[in-house]
Amino acid sequence: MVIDKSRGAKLFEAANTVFLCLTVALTLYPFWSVLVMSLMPYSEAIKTSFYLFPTRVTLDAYRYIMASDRLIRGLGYSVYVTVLLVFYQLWITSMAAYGFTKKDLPGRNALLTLIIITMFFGGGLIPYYLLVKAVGLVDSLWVMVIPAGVNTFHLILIKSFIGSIPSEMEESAIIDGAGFFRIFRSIIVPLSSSVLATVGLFIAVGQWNNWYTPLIFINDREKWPLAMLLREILINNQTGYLQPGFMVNRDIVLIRSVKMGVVIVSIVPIILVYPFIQRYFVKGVMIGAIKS
Amino acid sequence: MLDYLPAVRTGQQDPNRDRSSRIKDASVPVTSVKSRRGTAADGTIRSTPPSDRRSRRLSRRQTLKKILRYRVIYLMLAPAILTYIVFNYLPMYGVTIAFKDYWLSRGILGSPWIGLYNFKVILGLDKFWQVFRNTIVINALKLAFVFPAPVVLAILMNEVRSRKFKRTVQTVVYLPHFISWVVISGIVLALLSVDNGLVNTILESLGGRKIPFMIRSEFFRPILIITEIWKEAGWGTIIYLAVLCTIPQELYEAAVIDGAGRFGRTLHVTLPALTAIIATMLILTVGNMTIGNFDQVLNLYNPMVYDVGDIIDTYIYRVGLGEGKFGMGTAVGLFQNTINLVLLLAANNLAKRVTGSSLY
Repeated sequence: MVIDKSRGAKLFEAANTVFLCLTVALTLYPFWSVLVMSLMPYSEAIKTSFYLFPTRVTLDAYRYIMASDRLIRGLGYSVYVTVLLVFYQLWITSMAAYGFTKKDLPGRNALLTLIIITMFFGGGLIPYYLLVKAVGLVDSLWVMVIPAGVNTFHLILIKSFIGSIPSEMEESAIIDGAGFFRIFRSIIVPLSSSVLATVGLFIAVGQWNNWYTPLIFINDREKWPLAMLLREILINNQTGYLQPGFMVNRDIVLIRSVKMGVVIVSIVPIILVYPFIQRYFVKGVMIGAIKS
Repeated sequence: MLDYLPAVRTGQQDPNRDRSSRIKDASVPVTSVKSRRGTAADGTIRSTPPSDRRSRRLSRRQTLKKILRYRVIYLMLAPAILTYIVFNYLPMYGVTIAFKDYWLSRGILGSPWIGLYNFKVILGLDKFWQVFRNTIVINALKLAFVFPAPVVLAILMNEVRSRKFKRTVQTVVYLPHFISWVVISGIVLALLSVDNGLVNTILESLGGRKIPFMIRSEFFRPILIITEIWKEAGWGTIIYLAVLCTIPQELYEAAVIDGAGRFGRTLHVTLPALTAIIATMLILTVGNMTIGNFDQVLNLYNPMVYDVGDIIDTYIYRVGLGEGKFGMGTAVGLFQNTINLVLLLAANNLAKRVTGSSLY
C-alpha cells in the first residue's frame, strides 16, 4: 500500500472507517432485532420498538415453537431433504465432473454444449410444472431432490478442481489395473474432498432455504419443510394453524415473538455452517466467474 | 456377441498400451501424447489424399475404440445427462403449449394447435403490458442504484489498510446473501409494520405520522431497491475485490510520483482496472432485463401494490399456474425468454465493440 500521510488522506481514512462500521452495523442490526424481539415478553414488547438489548428475557416463543407438531415435523423434513440432496447431487455432479475432465472423450463438446444451452434457454415455469406432474413428483418430497440432481455451477466448480489434480496420480492407478470408477472412488473423491465439502455446504444452504419448490409442487401442507412453513407464517400471516386451539387470550400476544423465533430457528443452522463456507466460497465464486 | 467380446477386451487393454508408450517417453505430458497421435492421423490425411476414405475409416475406428475404452465414463455421465434431458430439455418441448389450446385431460400431444392465438390474447391485455413495464422499470432502477453499490463498496473496502478490519467487514457483508427472501421479507414486514414497527416508531417520535409502507405504491419500488442492496451488495463485492487484488502496487506508486492524490489514484488506476469486469457484469444485468427477482417480489408484494410491483415472473405464477391458464402462461414465458436471449446477445455484441471484452 502506498503510505500517504497528508491531512486529506487521514480524513478520508477516518470517514471510510466510519462508513464501513456503519455498513456492518446496518447489516447486523436486523438480525439482532429479530433475536431481541423473539426473546421479549409481550408486556415489554408493546412499550417500545427500538431495542438494543432485551429488557427482560423470556423463552415463551421458543416453548411455543417446540410445542408445535407441525413446525417440528417441518424441521425434520428440512433436515431430511437437505441431507438427501447433498449426497445425491454431490454423487451425480462429481461423477459427471470427473467424466468431463477427459478431454479426448468422444462427444464431450457436444454434451458440454447441451449443458451450457440450458443456462440460456429453458421451457419456463408452466412446461416445467407439467413435466414434473407427468413424472409423478408433485406432492412428493422427492421433487426437492431428483430434479436438483445436477447444478451447472457446481459441476463447473468441481470439474475445474478435478482438472487441476496432477494426472500422474491417475496413471499410477491405471498401471495397477484400476478402472475409471475405482480411480474416481479411491483417488479423485478423496483428493477433492475440500471442494466437495464446499459445494456440499452450498447445496445444504440452498436446500435449507428452499421454499420455492414446495410452493409450486407440494400442495399437501403436512409435507411442507420449514422454509415453506416459514413463508406461510411470516408472509401469509398464518400463525394460527401452527397449533390449533392454542391461540387463546394470553398466547395471541406472542405472535410477533413466535414469528421472530421461527426466523431464528431457521437461520441458526446457516450461521453455524457459515464460517466453513466462507473460507471457500470466494475461491468458488471466482472460478465460476472466470469459467462463465 | 462373439464379435463384440474381443472388441471389449481391446478396449480394456488400450489404456495399458497407452501407458507403455507413456512410460517410455516419460518427459512428454499425457495430453501431448494423445494430441501427437491425433496430428499424425491428420498428417496421413494430408499426405495421401487418394486414400481419404481409408484414413477416415481408420479415425472412425479409433473413435470407436476410445468410446469403448471410456464406456465406464459414459456410464458415470449418464445420470447427470439424463437429469438435464428430462428436467431441462423435455420442458423445452412443452413450450409448444404456447401455440395450443391446452387441455389437461388431452395432454400436450392431444391438444389442438391454435397458432398465435395465445400471443394475440396476451399482447392485447393491459395487465400484460403493465407487468412488462413494471419488470423493465424495476430492473432499470436496480441497474441505476443496485448495480453500482458493490463497485463502490469494493473500492472503499480495498482502501482499508488493516487486514483484520477488512476481513471482519467482508465476513459480515457476505452474510445476508445466504438468508432467504422469505426471512428478509419477514424482517422487513416487522420493521416497517404500522403496529409497533421500528421505522414507524421513529417517525412518530419525530412528530410524524405512521405510514403503512407495504400497501403504498410509492414506497414499493424503493423498498425493492433498498432490500436488494442490503442483501446482495456485500456479496457482489467478491468479484471486484478479486480483480482489485491483481492490480500491481507499482501502478499506484507511479501514480503517486506523477502527483496523483487518493482520488486521482482511484480515478486513474483503480477504475480502469475494473472496466472489463464491470462491462461483463453490465452485460449480464442488461441481458436479464426482462427477468425479475421472483423470490423478492413474491414475498414482499400484495394486491395493493400490484400496479407498480407485479412483474412478469409473478404474473406467470399467479395467472398461469394459480388460475390454470397454462397456454397463456407459457406464451408469456416464451415471449420473455425470447426477448431476454435477444437482449443478451445484443448487449454482448455492444460490449465487444466498446471494450473489446465479451462473454461468448
